[in-house]
Formats: sequence, structure tokens, C-alpha cells
Amino acid sequence: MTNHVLIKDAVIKLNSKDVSGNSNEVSIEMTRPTDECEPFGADVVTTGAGAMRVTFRIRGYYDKTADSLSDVAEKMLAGGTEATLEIYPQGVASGNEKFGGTAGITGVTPTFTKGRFAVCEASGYINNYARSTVTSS
Amino acid sequence: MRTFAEFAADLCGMTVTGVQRVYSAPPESLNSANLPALFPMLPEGDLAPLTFGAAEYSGRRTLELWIPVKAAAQGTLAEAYVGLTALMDNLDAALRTLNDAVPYRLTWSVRASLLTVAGTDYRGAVVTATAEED
Repeated sequence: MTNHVLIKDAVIKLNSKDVSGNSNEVSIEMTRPTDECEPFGADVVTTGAGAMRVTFRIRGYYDKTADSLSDVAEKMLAGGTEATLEIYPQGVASGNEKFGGTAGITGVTPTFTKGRFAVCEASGYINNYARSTVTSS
Repeated sequence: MRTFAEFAADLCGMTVTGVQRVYSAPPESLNSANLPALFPMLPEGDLAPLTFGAAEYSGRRTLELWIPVKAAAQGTLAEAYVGLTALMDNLDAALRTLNDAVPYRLTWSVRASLLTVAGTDYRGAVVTATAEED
């Protein structure tokens, strides 16, 4: 067997609210943009990695009730507030991985299509990003 | 998602102009006084988890309605044609009304067909209705 991870019951907490029941996909993007330096008189540009940036995206379903994914994300966006984001891809049991930090919301997109469940996507950045192991559930 | 039984009940609860009797299950035999009659055949469908924790499911239910109109040995083709096209329009109208009332996406097809009930062939219509939530 491989060590690939089958995702079934991930837990996502945004601003301490469990929004897993509205969500079916979460992604974390970690990047370092390329920095370039061209010293005076040099023939070759010196290239290096810039500062690390971490962003995230949660995809799921629009829910008009309080503390749903769309509700929590929209309130954070409207208030310009930052709050904790916790992502447990395999659940909160001890020994599982946890991704998280302090999140700010930069985009919320509820989409309403005739004959379909309304969907919602929330995206933003993560400060103080850390990946850790859950020690107690 | 609607259960199979609920979806069958939704369809059998329609009021279709011209239909004389609605059966909630396929009848053992048909009396000509009850024609056109409407009854459901066995449904099929599927479900799939939609969110983490399977809080919600997406799904599909499909069911055929049989609507025999007249024994195939009776009447002329011209009469059958007129009667069947009128019935198909009435079925279409009833399904549009049902679509406005139900919380799922309802799609359907209607076709004229030769239906065999209790060994007798009838000219009639078949509705294939599908309920979907996704």
C-alpha cells in the first residue's frame, strides 16, 4: 500500500467555528516568489527565494444559517478581521496533521445556479502558518 | 434527497387531465373503464457524500410512469395518435406544475409506447422522470 492520504472527514475551523459540514475541498498554497538582484557591473543576475507566502481556499456550499462557511467568511471579510484557521485533513484525532495560523479573508464568492445547490468559496492568506501534529483530540 | 418512495408519491400525486385512475403500484390487470390509468414502475437512483463528514448527499432518483390509454386492438391509428399526443401534452403540463412545487431538480422525457399489462397490449405513454440534487 502507498502512503497516499484518502480524505473523508476533514475538519476545518474558521474563527473557531467548525465549517466542515459546508465544505468539500480545502487547499493551502505555499510559495516563495523569485527575488532577483543585479549587482552593479555584474554580468549575471543573482537569483534567490523571496519571503514565504501562504494562502488558502475553501470550497463548499452556501448555507444561510449562522456560523456556516459563507456566514463566518463574509463576516470576517466585511470586518477586515483576522482569526484562527485550523485544517485537519484526516480529522482531529491525536497523531493527525494540523495546518493553520491566523487567517485573513480576501475573497468570498457565493454562487447561485438554477437547479443546483448554492456553492460558496472563501479564500485568503495565513499569517504565522504552521504544520503540526495533533497531540490530543 | 427524496427517498424512492417519496419520489414515487410525488409523481403519483400529480393531477393529469384525462387520467381516470392512478395506481400507487403496477396493477395486476386493467379495466377499460379506468383508462387512461397511471402507475409507477420500480425506481432506480444513487447517492454520494457531498461534504466532509457526509453532512449532505447529492443524489439522483429515476422512475418510469406508465400511462396505458387504450387496448392496441381497439380504435384506429388516427384516433390513437390524437389521443396520445393530447395525453402527452397533459403529462407535460402536470410535470411542469410538479416541478414548481418540489425542492429538487426535476427533468423528464415523455414518449408514446406499446405497453403490455397482464398479457394485453395497450397504446400509451411512458414518462421517465428524474429528480436530482447536486
